[in-house]
Amino acid sequence: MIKINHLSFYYKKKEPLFTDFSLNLENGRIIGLLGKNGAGKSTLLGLIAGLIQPNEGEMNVNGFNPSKRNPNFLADIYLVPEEFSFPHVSIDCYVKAFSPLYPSFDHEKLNTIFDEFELHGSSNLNKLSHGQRKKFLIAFALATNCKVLVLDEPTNGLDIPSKSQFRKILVGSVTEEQLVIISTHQVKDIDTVIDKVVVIDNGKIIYQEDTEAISQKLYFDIVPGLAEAEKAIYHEQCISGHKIIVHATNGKESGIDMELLFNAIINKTI
Amino acid sequence: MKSNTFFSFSRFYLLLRNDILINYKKYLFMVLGAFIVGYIVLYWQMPKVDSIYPDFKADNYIPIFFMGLLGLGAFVGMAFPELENKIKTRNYLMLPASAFERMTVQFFIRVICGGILYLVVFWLVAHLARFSALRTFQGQANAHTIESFHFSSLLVGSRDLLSKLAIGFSIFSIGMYLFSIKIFFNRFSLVKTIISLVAVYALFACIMVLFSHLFYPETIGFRVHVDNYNIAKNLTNSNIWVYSISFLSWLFFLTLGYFKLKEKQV
Repeated sequence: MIKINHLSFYYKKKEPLFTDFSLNLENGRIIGLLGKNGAGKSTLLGLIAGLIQPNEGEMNVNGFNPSKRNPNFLADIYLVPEEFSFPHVSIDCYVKAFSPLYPSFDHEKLNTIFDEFELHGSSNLNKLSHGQRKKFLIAFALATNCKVLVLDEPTNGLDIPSKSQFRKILVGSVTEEQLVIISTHQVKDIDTVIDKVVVIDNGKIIYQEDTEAISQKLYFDIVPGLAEAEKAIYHEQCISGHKIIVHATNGKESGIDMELLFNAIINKTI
Repeated sequence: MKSNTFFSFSRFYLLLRNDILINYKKYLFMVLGAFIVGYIVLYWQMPKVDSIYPDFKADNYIPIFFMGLLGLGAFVGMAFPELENKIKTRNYLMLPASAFERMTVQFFIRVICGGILYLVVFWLVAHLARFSALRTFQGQANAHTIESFHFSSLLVGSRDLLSKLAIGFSIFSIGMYLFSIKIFFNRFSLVKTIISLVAVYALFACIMVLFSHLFYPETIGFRVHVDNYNIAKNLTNSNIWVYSISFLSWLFFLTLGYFKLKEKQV
């Protein structure tokens, strides 16, 4: 569970990034944290992980103040950063060295994910491709069973089959006690796994909604003609005509086109 | 403060195990390197057949021992290697351990294990180099004497016990400066720490000169004037001042390093 109240943060000699920022996230959810480059997504993740300290405001993650870096807090949060580095050791050695630090670590789960990602314990981490190392890191993060998993651009560097594997594994391994925050600007990669969307821009939440509620309120479609598109809340041209968002009527539901929704939010039409 | 959030022996053990599993090859190479370099230096310093060097006395080991301490200082100054870059620092700070546990693990590896290994390696190479050098004299008439190395020979000298302890603690304090102050820096932290040590020393000297000129206007040039007087038998005010710095500064450096590590942001 994450509770952020009236948080303010700024980097030295820079404009305030967050001013009076509040956010509540419950466990048992997979949150899509979306935003343009420089919107403050990674900074927010850093604040949640306790890597940076807010200038003002209150933060509560699993009952802890992240800034204090209590070891019990750190044992229950795992951050998969966008950029990462590994020591020059094998996967087995890494797991042997780091897994005991996480009390709920599940070796069986790790081996299952390794099988799906086609990773082998004897491989040297630094001889793997970027995508394979990312898959290893995701596998390790999921196996820690930490209550809060923070994934910063998890699909960056993954090939197309790996992206769908990632979605499948994520949905299959996350429990009701866990909270997963996925920060990404590749919104299409996560549209089927998230159950809440939070969009931030210039350090402010400009949109937050459960995906279920979005499906009930909005209808996503592709129409051939411009006339229909112009009646829509938001539209974008595509090869087969126009992608549109309209108000859902008569209980009609569609899949969410996350990229279209994101663009609509950024363009302030929603 | 709950004791288990500040220090837990099991977390200390897991963090130590983690460090050893990840870095054991690096440590083994360092010990091997120290062994080879130590052997070469000692063997090179010892007299051989037809050598122009005089006999090798027990106190000839002392300067080499203290030179070797520079290597140990570098090893101590390379503590917290993860803090060298932003990505590694982030991973390191996310490990489930308190700042105190992180400090104690590094202290244990770098200072306690490093110190013990240094003594063991020095003792071994001193005896091995002596044995090798003596072998060159076999069957020769003009053999030199090479005295054996004993740790007690490091303590010989005319200084009293308190002065010897002060020298020991001064060396330890310099080590703790290298160990702790490097936490303040990111890239090239060891070099920056050494530069800062020189800068602190220069600043200290300048302040002393300034005070000398202020309180003793007769002071000439870049000299330090200290008014010495006896407090007790064989104990002057300057002695107390030097001893205080020697015996206590390491504690200050460690505390400073601990709080910097605790507050470190990335």
